[in-house]
Amino acid sequence: MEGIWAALAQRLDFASFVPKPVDGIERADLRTRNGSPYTVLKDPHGDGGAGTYVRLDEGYVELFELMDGTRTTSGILVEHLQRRGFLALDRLAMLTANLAANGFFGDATVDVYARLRRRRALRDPLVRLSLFLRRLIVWNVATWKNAESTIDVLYRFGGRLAFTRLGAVILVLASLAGIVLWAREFGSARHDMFRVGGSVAWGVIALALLQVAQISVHELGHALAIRHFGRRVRLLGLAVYYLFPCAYVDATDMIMAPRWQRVIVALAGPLAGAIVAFLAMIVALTSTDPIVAGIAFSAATIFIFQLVLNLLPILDLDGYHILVDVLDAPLLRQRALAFARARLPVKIRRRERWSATEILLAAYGVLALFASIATLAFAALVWNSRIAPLAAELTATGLVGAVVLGVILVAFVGPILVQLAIRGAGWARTALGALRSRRGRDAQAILLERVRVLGRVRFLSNLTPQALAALADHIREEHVERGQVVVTHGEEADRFFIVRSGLLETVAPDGQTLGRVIPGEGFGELALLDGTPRTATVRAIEPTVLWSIDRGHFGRWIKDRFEVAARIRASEEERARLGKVPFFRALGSAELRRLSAKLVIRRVPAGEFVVRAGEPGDRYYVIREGTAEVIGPDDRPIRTLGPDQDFGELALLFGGGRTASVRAVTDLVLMSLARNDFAALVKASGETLGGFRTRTSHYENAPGLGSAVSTTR
Amino acid sequence: MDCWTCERTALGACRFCGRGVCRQHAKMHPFILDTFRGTKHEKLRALVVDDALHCGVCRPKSDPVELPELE
Repeated sequence: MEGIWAALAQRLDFASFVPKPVDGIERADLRTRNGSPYTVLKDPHGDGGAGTYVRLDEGYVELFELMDGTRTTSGILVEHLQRRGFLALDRLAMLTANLAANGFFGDATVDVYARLRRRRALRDPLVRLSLFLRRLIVWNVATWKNAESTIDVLYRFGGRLAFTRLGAVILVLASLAGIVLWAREFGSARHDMFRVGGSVAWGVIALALLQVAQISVHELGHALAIRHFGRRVRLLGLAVYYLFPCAYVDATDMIMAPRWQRVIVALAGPLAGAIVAFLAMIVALTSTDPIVAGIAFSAATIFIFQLVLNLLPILDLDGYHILVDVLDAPLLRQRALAFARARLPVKIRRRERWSATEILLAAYGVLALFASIATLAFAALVWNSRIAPLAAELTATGLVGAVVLGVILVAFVGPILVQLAIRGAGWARTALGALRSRRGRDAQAILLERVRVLGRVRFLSNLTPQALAALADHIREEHVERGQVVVTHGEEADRFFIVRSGLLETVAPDGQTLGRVIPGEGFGELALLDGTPRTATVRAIEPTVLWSIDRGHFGRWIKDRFEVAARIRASEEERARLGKVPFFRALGSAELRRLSAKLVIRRVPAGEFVVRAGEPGDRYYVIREGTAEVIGPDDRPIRTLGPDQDFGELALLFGGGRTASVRAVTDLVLMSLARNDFAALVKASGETLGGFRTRTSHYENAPGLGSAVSTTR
Repeated sequence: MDCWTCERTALGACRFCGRGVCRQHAKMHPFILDTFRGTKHEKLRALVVDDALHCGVCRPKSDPVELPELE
């Protein structure tokens, strides 16, 4: 099996991949308007015989040429490095991915999961609606990949004449004449394009058929031009375009041709329509039959409209493609829009200099603006002069008239409505996405806050935010009212609590209040850890918000975190030890818990001083391990201190300077408490420092060592 | 088991590579359980879980890899 894994590893290893393009790849070396070379590759067998294309900029061509089936990608990189002096890793990766995706190395890459994702996305009604609306714009009903012979026949039997010099001149002149004739007739309003023999219904049917014919003639013009330049019509298709059926040709193969040929191919479509408009106008002007003349005029109108519409450079139609090719400015519309949105206001505000490209983008934007206004004005004119009177007449005739009017309106307004509906669906999806993303951000903010609060709990401090977040994920927020019991003495522990806000008190089984639990403190962790019953009852004395973590999650989380469990148990031991120290013997468990949370471990090597006489007394110490000696003012040892004995306690109450020194006899482990922390804890418990002094006054006269090291009052 | 990305407690394992993954770093990825040809449909069809757990670290290959060694 090792061989299989090795083979699989080799297949997946980019460095050992040997790229070998399939046979029969066509290549066109072209230049942009400013003279930069680029290459277009075509795999004529790709996409089921329709052909696939890849455009390579100058830096990629040499890499492609090295893909001769003898070198691995690493070999190509080395070869390129030797020739050009730099490592083209990114370029090679992009090139191989691009070629593979387009089937230049054999079968085209099949992105199975992307297809599955698309199927999944279809469950979203908004996605389905968007797709449906897009189908209303272009619904590809059928495609024909081997249309060359048909186009070839049409070209040889007459089409080619249009591409001779004489033929081209005649056709252009005829087109111009057709436009002039039509404009004169349109102005005279002699013909009613919405009626045939007085019938509006027939007029609408005739217009629909003429529209189909118009688009087909237009596409035929493109197809003949493509054939003339020796390229092939990649696809011949039948589609429903803005609710109208039409034939179309795929001119992608012209990407292999020079720019001027592409411009002619783009022009050929509208020009073919203009020629038909000229012929229709001849019929309209010469026919004695009013029905024939009317239909001919309607045909001319439709073909002239398509000419204007297609040459408008603001839509993604022929006029735009001509402009892009003439200027050699790909993605002109998108770039102009991006410039208008992002850069234009800044440039105007700062009065910056304009580059040639920026001038071009701005000029295109201005042109698009004027073209849009002119189009709207023309549409309004047509509406007022032709459609509005017709609409009034139709609505007066009853239901049939209203239906016919509806059809006319759909034809005129349908595309706009479809576009607006698509935009609307897009906005709805964006808004939903933003809402989901906001929810995600809110969840993240809540998690961060929980991590911050958990980090303040003593046994959880020093843990990484990631570790705390794992626990924070399982926090549940609970609201308890004043007087409500949160845990009861003796019951089985099922949760660990942290007080978020409010105030609680712990009550012994005999009803004696043991202490208070304030915000930021936790309780119940030891019972949860050891599975012991609750040792006290906890009751809210204010409306309180608690965060709880249940036993299951807490247990799973702490299972591998031995140091946290040890810290919880050590805290408990520390509290017990602290409670035995005379200074704190009257304190309740909650107070001891709070105190122990503020204790800091300090290690002092043997022979070093812990405190010196005369120093400010700002800390209190309890010895955990080791022995120390108290040294009087005459440098003579007064007494020896051992584990659980303390010193410096009066510093907590009164401050001031030390009256004696303490030196470590052996290595010492001390628990120390700062005066500031101590005062804050007393304040948090609701007691004054004075009250605390009174409560601990027993200690002043108690036997011990405090007096030996006590600070001056 | 911990999450491969953040080392928090994992809630599941990636369907593709087995890495542990927590809720926050869990991603959804389509997973093909089986393929078959139906009696009425000549085209290959797949039984799919469209939201299988994915760690986001491993990259399930979307394009089948040729392995003639297995024939």
